[in-house]
Amino acid sequence: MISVDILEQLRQSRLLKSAPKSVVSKVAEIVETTSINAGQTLFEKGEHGTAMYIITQGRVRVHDTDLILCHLGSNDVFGEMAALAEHEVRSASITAVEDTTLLRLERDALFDLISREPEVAKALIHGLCEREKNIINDVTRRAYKVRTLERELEIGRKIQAGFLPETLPQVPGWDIAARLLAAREVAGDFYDAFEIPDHGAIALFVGDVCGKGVGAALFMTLFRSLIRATLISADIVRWVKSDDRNPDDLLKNSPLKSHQLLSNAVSLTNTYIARNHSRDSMFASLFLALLDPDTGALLYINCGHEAPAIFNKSGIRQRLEPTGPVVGMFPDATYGIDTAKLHPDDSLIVFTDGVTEAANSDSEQFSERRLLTLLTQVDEPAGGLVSEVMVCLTDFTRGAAQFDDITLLVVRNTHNGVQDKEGWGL
Amino acid sequence: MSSTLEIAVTEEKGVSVLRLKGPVDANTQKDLEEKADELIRGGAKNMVLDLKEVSYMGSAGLRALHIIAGMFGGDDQSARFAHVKLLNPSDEVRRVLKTLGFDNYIDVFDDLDEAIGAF
Repeated sequence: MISVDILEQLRQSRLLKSAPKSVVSKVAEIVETTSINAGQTLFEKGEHGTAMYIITQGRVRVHDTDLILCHLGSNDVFGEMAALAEHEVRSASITAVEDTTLLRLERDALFDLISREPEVAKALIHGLCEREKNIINDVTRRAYKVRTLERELEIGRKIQAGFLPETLPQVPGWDIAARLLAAREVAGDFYDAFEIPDHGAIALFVGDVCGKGVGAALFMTLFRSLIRATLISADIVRWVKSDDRNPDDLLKNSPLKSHQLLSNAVSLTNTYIARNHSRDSMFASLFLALLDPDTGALLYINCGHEAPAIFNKSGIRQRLEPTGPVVGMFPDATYGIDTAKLHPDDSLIVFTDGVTEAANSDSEQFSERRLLTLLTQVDEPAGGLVSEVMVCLTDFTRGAAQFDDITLLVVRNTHNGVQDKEGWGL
Repeated sequence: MSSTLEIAVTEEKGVSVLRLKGPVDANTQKDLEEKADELIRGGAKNMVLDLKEVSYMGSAGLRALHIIAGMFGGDDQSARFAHVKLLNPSDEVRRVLKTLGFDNYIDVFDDLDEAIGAF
């Protein structure tokens, strides 16, 4: 004797809603009742299964490890794919959110019933088509949502492109090239190169905000803008800090001492972010330098960044090690300033850890060793070297997903310009 | 780069000792922060992170340290890391701590008793 309850539950299920009474009672003969407790996993993605289920009471989540695909409740059906198609495995995991009672339909019993009662097959097909329609509607809805998000990201990407230099300084005797490859649509890395107005030096910097994607990108714009603004508006900075705020000072064209320029840029940026954004615990590694194009003298601050290298055909001449901690984390940090020199035919390469930590599908990293070896093997203009490194990286990673933003900045002394001048002095 | 981080917690002389095994990276950072949050809400006042079996710890891991240190409260930025100390980081992790400049702000020890005694 079949319980009236089961008949009723089957009739209400999304599978047999439109089925004739005779079909429902025949299915009721082969159905089993079962239950799972809240928190219990009924089956996992990838398992073989031979049963499909109808929820009579309760709630489950359909998931792929920690990614929740949807929730199902009373009258919902699941598991039919693996049950009906012999070699299919479970396409998702099912875990109960509440104590849940289910009706279970075993494949063998169901196929046996279908072979005896073709009406059952018709009803099942109808029910499954209904289900497919719902799934397609859901997919469409999500596709719209994804498209909206993708459009937003594209807007973000375009705006962020405006935060990178459109052109690099064209200075006689110097060859500058750069490349930034974001891991996502928007990047946490940044670089800049420009001539400082009324000063003569070329400012160069490369930074890497902790993380990637939207969070890092938002902070990237802040870091980059603060550094650039403090470098360019050096006179204003000096004027604001002085005790005697005589407006005439601002009009006087006396160049700010280079050390102060660098120090101000870093301390201001560091203190601003460490004090105003301490809750986000964001920081950036940063290499910031002033290059005297007349003498090749380099004045720099390295804030927790991978040591850039000065090299030429004979090898790596110097590594420019950190002179202070990362920026934005320690409000009272002090930053040392160091010097170097780019002789004719010397090149400087500044890179982020996205280059050295780029991994192939065996989880092997490109490594600093490979990069440094490559530098001495290639005798190219700055642009050529950047391309060469990018080609090697692509070859090495062989299509494995890019894990982090990749940034390269190369400056080469081509000694075509005047090298005898005094320069602005260090 | 996807691997799990195992965290074993013990309480020694009033200090929470977290023994970490695996990578501390962008994927596992959340697990560490959640565990620390759970312990601090439960009353933990000081914490030692045993990094002996940490296979990798990059900038994301160091950011997690800063976040965890901030969970102990207090506005004194200069003493932010007063309640978190590190134990036995590998040479590679030490290198990262040094390059990023964290070594001047967070104490690192080779011996657990020494670490506990330093609070």
